[in-house]
Amino acid sequence: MASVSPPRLGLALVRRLLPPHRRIEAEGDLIELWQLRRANGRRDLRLAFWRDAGSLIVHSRVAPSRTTRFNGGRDMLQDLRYTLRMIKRQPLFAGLVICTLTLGMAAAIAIFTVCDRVLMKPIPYPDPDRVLSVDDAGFDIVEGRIAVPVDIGSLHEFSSVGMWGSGGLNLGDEGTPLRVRAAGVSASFFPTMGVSPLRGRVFDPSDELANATVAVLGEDLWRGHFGADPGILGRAIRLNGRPFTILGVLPASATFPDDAEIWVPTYADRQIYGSAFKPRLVGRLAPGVRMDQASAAIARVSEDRRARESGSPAPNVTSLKDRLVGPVRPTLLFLAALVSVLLAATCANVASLVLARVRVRANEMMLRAALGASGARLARQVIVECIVFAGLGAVGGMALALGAMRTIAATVPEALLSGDVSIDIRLLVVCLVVVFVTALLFSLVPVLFSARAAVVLREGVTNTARLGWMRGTLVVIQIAAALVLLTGVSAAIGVVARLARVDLGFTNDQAAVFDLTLPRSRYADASSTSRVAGDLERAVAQLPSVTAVGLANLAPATTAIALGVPLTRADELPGSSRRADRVALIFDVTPGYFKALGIPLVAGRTFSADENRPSARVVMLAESAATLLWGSAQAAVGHQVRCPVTLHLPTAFKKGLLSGPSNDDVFEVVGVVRDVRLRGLTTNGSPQVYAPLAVAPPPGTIVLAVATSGDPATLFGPVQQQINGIDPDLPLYNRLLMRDLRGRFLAKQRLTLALAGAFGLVALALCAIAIYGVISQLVSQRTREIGIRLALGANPSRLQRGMVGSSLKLAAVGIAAGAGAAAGAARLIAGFVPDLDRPSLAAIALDAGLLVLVAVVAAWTPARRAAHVDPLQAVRGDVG
Amino acid sequence: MKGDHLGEFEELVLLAVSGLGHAAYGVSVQALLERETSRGVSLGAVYAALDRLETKGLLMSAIAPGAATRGGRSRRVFTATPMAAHTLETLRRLRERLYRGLATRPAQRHT
Repeated sequence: MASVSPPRLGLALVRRLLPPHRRIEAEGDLIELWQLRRANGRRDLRLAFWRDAGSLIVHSRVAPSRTTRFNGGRDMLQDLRYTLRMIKRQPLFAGLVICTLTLGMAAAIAIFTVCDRVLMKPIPYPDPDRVLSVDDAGFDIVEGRIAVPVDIGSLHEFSSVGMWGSGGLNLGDEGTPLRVRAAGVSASFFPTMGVSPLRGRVFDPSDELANATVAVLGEDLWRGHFGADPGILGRAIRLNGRPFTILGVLPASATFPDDAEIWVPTYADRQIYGSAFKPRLVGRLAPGVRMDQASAAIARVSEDRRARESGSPAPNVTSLKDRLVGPVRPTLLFLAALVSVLLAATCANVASLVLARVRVRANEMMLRAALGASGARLARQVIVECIVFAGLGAVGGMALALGAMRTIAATVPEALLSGDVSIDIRLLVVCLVVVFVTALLFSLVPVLFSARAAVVLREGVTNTARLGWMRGTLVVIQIAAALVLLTGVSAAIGVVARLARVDLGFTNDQAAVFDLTLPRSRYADASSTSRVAGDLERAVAQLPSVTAVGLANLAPATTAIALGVPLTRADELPGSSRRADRVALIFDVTPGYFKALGIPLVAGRTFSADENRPSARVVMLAESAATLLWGSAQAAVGHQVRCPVTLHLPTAFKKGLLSGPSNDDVFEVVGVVRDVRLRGLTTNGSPQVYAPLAVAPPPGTIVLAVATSGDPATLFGPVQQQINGIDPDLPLYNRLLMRDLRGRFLAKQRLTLALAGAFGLVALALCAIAIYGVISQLVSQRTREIGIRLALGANPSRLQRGMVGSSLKLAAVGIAAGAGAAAGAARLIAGFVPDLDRPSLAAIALDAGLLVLVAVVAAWTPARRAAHVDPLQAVRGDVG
Repeated sequence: MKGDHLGEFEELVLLAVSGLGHAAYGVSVQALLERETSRGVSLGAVYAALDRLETKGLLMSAIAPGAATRGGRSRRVFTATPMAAHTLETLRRLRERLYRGLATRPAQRHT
């Protein structure tokens, strides 16, 4: 009879050789089977037992065990749960890390995205860097039409070349017409830009005849003015009083050139361009042709042209992308630098927070390593933690960034930032990767410690002094980064402050200017234009509150366009002045213009009323033009200049003006006025020359400057009423208050400054978090020591001061490093952003003071905690 | 179905577990298979199949308390998942189709 219990050796082998989680069941099964078979009276009891035990052992060896095999999902889930438990257990640490990430990422994303949107509207054309923009290339007349210069159009370096000029048109036939931004373009313009119409078609060569009256609308105008009329194609509209037929609608994004709303063939209406027709070219590079090859080809043909036509300027070739993006590139680079520094500060902050926990984590990791966890397993845990933190930070950062962007979008003028604010995915990815990699690198430190697990567990100590030093360094880096950021902000403040002091050249804040367009159909020559100008001036002057009225072809910030003409001293030889800085802007003004805008007289006198006649031979110069020609304003008065002030006028206008020999271009300088800023505060305009309006009456757009003793904002209605009395078909548009002009010129700079200021604040907050973290950690690490010192009678307030002192030491080192870095950064940035002021010592000192304040405040709470440690508890080790 | 092939022995084990209801564990499955197939089945082979079926998502296992006959040692109890019922049904239909084909072929040969 077989024994009651199965062979002990077999059970022992099963216990020894099977994985732990299988042993008990296997043993139980073997015992149960033994009993079962014994009860059934089986003879081969032992044989069956060994067969089962052997097969179990073999099976467990052959089949991979569940724990040793990587079970991605389950382990990851476990790691995730562990991480969440950790967050719950140490909410302060987790909170600080997530807070840092949220703040840093939100600031970097929101500020950069907004600036990017404000400064750089996306280019809606395919391959904008394959399109060249060519200025001053001239034009040809082919079969009675204005055409792309034949020598450039036929270059095989281009697949197509288009021509454009921009300006404005009066749209509408009844009531008050609407002023729209318009462009005159050749048929080849659209294929060159790569634009296809939303509806209908664009121009073809048959539309390019001089008498063509066809137009293409922009989507916004189509929706806004025509209510998205589906039957718009073929509909007749009136532009500058003439009938035009609508051929098509362009998508809303295609607004090149100059935010155009309507496109007509190049020469459909000359008035579109104001007083100057200066067509420009765009050319799309043929496949395989580089930009420099195309530029060289243009330079070659233009040399030939210039040899034929003396005096034509050299063409200016840029890529379309540079043309659209170029002016804002320095600011973008400056902001990108700020974003990088901010991200660096965020990373340093996360790293220092992570390192603060290395001591705790290292012990835990060593214990786990000693219990059999592999290095890879521990590393995986750390990676999961990093993903969780970076993920939470990213979610928080995105939410905060979206909120911030909405707020910014709601507060800045719509003209600067349209409603569409969305996060740039590339930027988000860069931020995420940078932060994640940093967190990961520093999180892996405790894993490295665990490699020495056995030694440390045996000896029970771990040396984290070096880590403390590392952490201190990180805080120093952060303070230095904050100082660099703050210095950048100070520099930006300096720029805006300096620009706010720039002399605009006009002083009358009580003035307003309006544009109006005189349709050529009714004002076809100089005399009718001069007459209506006089009528307008007299009519507006009759308004009771009006103190001065002036008319001109051009005024600051209006859409009117003026042509540059060569300017020389009359005693200079003709032709010696073909220098760019001798190309002057001609202002045709009535005598009241200077008083209306408050343009100060520097020397001599202004025009008298009877000098506003076609035969007058007087001009006034702006200060810079006078200085350029005679060295000073005073010296210029009484001298003569040679300046073809009617050069830009159409032939019909020249009748009766300056007829006679070429010395009609010679004028006496009767006065010199202050230079006027026309387009912005940072751009210095060309030399400015003023001629009486009657000498060269502007065809098309005319500017009305009105000064009042009351509120200039209320002028529009009464002025329009007075004008309606003369010609009811003259709409006023672009009304502009002079007092708003500085703000308008400064709008972008102010926004950039506000955002840069936000950068500074975030950097300060990050510094505060870092210092708070370091001092908190210091306190909890030294709790026992502090407790003993307190028990031995140490002075709590002295202890507290000591803690704050440690924070100040870090701040001092950081500030020293930051000051050096800021000086270096300033030199570097000056290369990109020429307008930026060097940070002054006072500004750096102020920023440093701010950081010291932050260091004291951030260290105060944990230092206070240290001073109030209960010695008994501390010694027992219950605190910390 | 996971797309994994189900071997003949695995199919038998799966059928046994499904048939045993909540009483399926190593010993009961082995006993059932030995009785029905009249051949020796090792416990290791049973567990190998049970583990594979669990990996394929056709079985779930849980630890249950053990009776005195096993010295009080716990048991690993297996239950079939809904996917198992579906898989078995698919297999049965496949077999039936194939058998029907087998039954009609000799008749065709005679005509």
